[in-house]
Amino acid sequence: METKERVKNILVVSGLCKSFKERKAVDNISFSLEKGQTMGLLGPNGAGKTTLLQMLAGLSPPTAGSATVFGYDLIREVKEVQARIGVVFEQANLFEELSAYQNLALFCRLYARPLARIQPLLERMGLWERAYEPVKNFSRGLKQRLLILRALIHRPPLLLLDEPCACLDPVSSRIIRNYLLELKNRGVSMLLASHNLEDVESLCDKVCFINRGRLVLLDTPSQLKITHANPMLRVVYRAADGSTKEELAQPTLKNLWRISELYNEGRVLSVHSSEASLNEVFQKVCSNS
Amino acid sequence: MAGLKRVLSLFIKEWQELVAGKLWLLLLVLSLSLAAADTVFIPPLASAQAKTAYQAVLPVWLILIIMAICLFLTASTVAEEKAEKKLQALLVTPLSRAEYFCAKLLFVALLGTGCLGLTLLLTGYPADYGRVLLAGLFGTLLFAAVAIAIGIAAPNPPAARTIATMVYLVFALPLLLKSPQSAGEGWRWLFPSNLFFCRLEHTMGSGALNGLLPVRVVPALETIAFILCSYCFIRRRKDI
Repeated sequence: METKERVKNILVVSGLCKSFKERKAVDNISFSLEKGQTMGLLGPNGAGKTTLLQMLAGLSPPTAGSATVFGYDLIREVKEVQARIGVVFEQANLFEELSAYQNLALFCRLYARPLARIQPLLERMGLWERAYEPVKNFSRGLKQRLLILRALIHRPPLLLLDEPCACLDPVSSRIIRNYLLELKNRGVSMLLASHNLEDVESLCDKVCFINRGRLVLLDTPSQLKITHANPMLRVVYRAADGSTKEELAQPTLKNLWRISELYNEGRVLSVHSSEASLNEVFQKVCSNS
Repeated sequence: MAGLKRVLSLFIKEWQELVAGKLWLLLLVLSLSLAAADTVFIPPLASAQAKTAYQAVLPVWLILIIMAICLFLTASTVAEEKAEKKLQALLVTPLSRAEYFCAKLLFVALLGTGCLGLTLLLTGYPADYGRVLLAGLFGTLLFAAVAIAIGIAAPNPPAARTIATMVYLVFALPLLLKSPQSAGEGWRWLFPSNLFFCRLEHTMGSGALNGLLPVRVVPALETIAFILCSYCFIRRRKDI
């Protein structure tokens, strides 16, 4: 896919705003995404993640601010931008009466790509056996896989994903996560809005926390955990009355001294480190803002 | 050329959807066509004059039914595509709003005019088919343009159907309130669709304005005006 110029940052968002009457859904958000990177958009429901993705997909014009995708202006060159992105919507917006093959064939024709692309894609996601069955008979997991394939039909270098694993069982979720990892390894950049912190942690190079339309935090997952969450020690020990107890303790000097005392008394059964999680960061960010 | 291919792709999709999911609608139109035979609708004991009057009005009524189906079908389909974000999925592709609009118009116009032709053929109605089909084409285009705008404006499919019903009543009122024998009451000219219906009657050979140029030209202009207004509305709409 040709780009306007050799840009380092394939996506540059600066001061993007979107208002619905008095309410600001997105308020002055700025960030950038490098080629091959995956960024996670995290935030509570109604934080503005979907609105932001809709703006970046060229479906909803911003009230203020600007954005460039592969050097193309989002407002003035929207079709150039759209030719370079694939969008996976939160809603399973497939044509339900049509088969999986017909759905993909429609988008192949719209992007002027050969229909020969469809079979390998359907085979990769295990959908080829059901290619000619109406999509309305598919489960949520199968529809979600088809949605991702549809977004990839023109081989876009940037994917915008809105909750790709929402409401899926662990098996479907894992299939989709593995496929996204495969795409990431092939150099596809992604902007992933999700509530599934496991997905974000395994896929994203950067995480962007949004709350009430504002960008609250932006960093790598590991740095966020170091800065905003505390690692804990999970200690299982025998109490004075003989019962087994479990405690989460911060690794402070005071706590370590107490654990060593218990250890000397032969009462410590196990000590495990409990890593700081994005979940903690998420909760902390939501409660703080 | 690429734009034309995209319009045709969407047009093919519309047919595939119709055949896969709304085949009952096609069957309904076919049944209507068959049921429209003179022996069914015209009372057997009616006088010769009444029979002539019925024969003049019957195809117009059928055309109206077909147009109503086109209006409701298009309005609810577009509203459904908008509500379920299918329209968004289409618009993130190189497909433009103009191409989407053209594909819908083309589909409805061909479906409506095809059904009309079939109706006339099956009922064996003695008419100048070319002129009747042209009148039908204008009518279906006009109704389809209005229906697409309704579908885009409505928040959901039921609301689209409600608005379409009201619009249909307003559009069809001149004909609904007109008796077969009378023609050209002044109040009917208050309705923009009156000229269109006059053209229909004219093609059936019963109109009061036979030979007048406006009856031939104005419906076409009226259709073009409605298409342009509808397209401008869709183009300016931000919340698609």
